[in-house]
Amino acid sequence: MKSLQLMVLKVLTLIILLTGLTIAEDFSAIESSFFQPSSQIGGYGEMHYNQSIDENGNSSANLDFHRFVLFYSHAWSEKWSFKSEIELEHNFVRNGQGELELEQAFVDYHHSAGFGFQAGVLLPSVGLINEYHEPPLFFGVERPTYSKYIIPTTWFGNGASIYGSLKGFDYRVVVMEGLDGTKFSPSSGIRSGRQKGYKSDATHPLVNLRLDTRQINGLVVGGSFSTMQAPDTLNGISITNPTSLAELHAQFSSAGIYLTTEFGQISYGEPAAVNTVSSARGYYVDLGYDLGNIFPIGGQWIPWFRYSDVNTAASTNGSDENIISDHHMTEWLVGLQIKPISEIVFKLDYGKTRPENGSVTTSFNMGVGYMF
Amino acid sequence: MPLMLVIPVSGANLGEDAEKAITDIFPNASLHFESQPLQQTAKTKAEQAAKQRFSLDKLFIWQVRQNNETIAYALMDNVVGKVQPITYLVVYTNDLDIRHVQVLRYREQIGGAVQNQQWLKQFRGTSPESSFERGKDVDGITGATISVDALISGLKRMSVYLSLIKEELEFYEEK
Repeated sequence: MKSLQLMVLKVLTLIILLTGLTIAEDFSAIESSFFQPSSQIGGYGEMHYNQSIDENGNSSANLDFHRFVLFYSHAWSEKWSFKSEIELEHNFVRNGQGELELEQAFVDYHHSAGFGFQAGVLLPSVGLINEYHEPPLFFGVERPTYSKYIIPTTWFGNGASIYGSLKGFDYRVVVMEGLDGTKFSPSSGIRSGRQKGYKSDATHPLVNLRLDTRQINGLVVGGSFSTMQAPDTLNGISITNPTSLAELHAQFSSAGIYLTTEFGQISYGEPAAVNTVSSARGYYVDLGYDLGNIFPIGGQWIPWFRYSDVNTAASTNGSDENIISDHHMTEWLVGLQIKPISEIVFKLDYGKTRPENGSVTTSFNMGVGYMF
Repeated sequence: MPLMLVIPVSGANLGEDAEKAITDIFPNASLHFESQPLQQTAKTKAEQAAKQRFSLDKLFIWQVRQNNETIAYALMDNVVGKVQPITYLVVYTNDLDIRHVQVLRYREQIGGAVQNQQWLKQFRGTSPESSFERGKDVDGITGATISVDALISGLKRMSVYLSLIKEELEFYEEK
């Protein structure tokens, strides 16, 4: 009897053991099927035809393969990965013409939806286009004027970040190389102050914080604030220029409607270091509609309109008020964006740029872009 | 000893996460899991319809049964995001309309908004014949274009594939 009990116990143990093993094998097989370490190649590029003529009859026409970009990435595990982006601008690099840039190269630790960490060459989270600048993702052959003079896109540098999503808000905090205050100017704002990761001065870091929320399908609303003490010299004395960039952005895309707007302001604590300019300010609005939403024409056919207002010297603490109007411009553009598939775009646009004090320029642009 | 061997299964792995998601919808149902090799003809047709290849070589499927009837199916699949794979679960009614979509694993920063359940609810009621076009049938997400497109194509691919092999699934039930 005792041996029978022992046998039954052994059989039961074996059944439980086998059942346990079977379940464990099934689900461990699932786990390993869904992730394997791997590398990936991606990229984007864009060729532009730019034609312009001003009121005095000065004209130009250029054909330029503006950007050729390759991504290389590798995932070691579900949490640890690497991403890089190398960009060649204007076909080649020679005698100061063209650029070869390492725009991204960072290690990413993705702990969970609520927390991740990155370190390396990063893009700060400013505006809608700096981090998402592939040609099919924005209207216009060229990026918006706002995204050049207020947000110095593409802005990249050495640093680290934390990111995540909590209670419906996506956050990111970046600490990275600061801007070179000696390169700030009334005509180009902070754009020339980017160090681009080249042996960057780490004595005056920049802190960038961003919050976005997506409570309604198709709508993102958010903003960012970046601040630093930009090193500079004034009358032969080393100073720091407290500099900040605050911006708000919103984008809505649903039922064929595309509506985008961004507003930003750069503030300088030491206007004397920027030729008395104490702030730069700008905004733009895009409105487009996908005709493919109502006509069976295949792909996306989006006519769109943009209005921009940018002033890289929006206020001054000096006595010469002309500096404000000298750097103020408005611009309107109409264009067509054709996407036969979502990764390829053909673009054309026409518009007028009106400096407050200066000659009106009429432009016509065509382009082709891709991403993969 | 047997208990110790079972312990790893009780951890938060994909299979358990998937079953929890299914059970949340059908608390009184029993779940029957299978992993099956993909059927070549149906695979090719589904890939052509969705313009996206399968990234896994097996179908991971649950039959959801209640009162001796199949009331739903659930599939677990991968699509490729910006860098990392995205693992998602899609639950179908017995008529193959999408009942629920859930991202089970998102493994990077870019495109993480695709996990938003508010956005995923858009797919509810979608059938294998639906066009699944971003901007028309489905709203996009700013900053998550690649993940959105990948997931939309993945759902189209799985819906078409399931519709093509459903008869055989019923055969399994009868067996």
